[in-house]
Amino acid sequence: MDDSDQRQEIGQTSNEEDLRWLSKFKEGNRRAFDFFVRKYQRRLFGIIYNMTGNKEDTADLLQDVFVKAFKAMGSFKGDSQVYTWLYRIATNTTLTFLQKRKARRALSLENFSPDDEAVPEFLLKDPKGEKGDKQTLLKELQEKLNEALQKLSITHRTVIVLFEIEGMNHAEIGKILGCSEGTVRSRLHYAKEQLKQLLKDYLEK
Amino acid sequence: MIEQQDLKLGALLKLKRYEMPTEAFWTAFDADLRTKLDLTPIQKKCSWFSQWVGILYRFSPLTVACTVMVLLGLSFSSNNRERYNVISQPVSLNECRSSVLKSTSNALAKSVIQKKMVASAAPNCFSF
Repeated sequence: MDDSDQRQEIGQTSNEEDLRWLSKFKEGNRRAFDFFVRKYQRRLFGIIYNMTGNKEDTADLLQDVFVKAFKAMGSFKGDSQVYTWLYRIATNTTLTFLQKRKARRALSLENFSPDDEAVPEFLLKDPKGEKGDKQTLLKELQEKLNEALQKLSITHRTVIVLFEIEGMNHAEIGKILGCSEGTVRSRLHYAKEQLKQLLKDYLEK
Repeated sequence: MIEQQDLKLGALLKLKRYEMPTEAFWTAFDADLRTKLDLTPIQKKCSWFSQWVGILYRFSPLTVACTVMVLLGLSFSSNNRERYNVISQPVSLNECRSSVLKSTSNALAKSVIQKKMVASAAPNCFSF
């Protein structure tokens, strides 16, 4: 499955099933909301964590997001897909938080163990072309990636998180952030250029 | 070269998908969230009338002022309409002359008006 297929798949994440559970919730079954929590909590965690760079803030914000969604789901008209609506709540809540928050030290997660096939070959080579210790390299990379993301502006960071990490397409990001596809493309371009500079030690391997 | 750097950057950023909290975190998270949700009321969809009442309640000083202005405007325009309706009725010239005859005590004026009333055979009407 190539990258564009994967982006499309994320966009079509069984909205029919979401709508079925949404109607159960609207009929008064409060427990139907658990379906959305189970289905989206990890992806929403990813978005918020990569935007804030702090695991403790992420846990609090994710709780806020679900409480907001729970309150408002009864009046959700279904004019967008449920996941777009949830992502919009998550990004808006996080953006508001980041605009108010003063600079705070990044606090990475301890659990970072990508599958072997996900780790690119070039990463495991040291400058002499020899293979280095994988765990040490990954830990160092995790810190560098988080530092680099936190150096981007909030808007650029949001776009790069949604596109590169969450695998959404430009149209979906535009809907979530309430801007045009052109704006998304432009922000993405500038964000990538900045990241290339910040991570050039890895990219020039 | 630039394209290769883009691909490498994409590959590095995708690794962040594997950065996830432990299962113990999710267990605690779910328990906290369940407690919060059990205490949270759900917003019901409001009817248009209750939405209007809500809006009026929220902006009461401004709304009251606007409502008074609108009501005053409506009442002024309806009064004027009634007055114009009355005035725009056609009035006979002789009716005017007879009302002047009744109100005047000057004998010369009375005689002139009486002559004019006799002289005007055709019903000459006008309106203001």
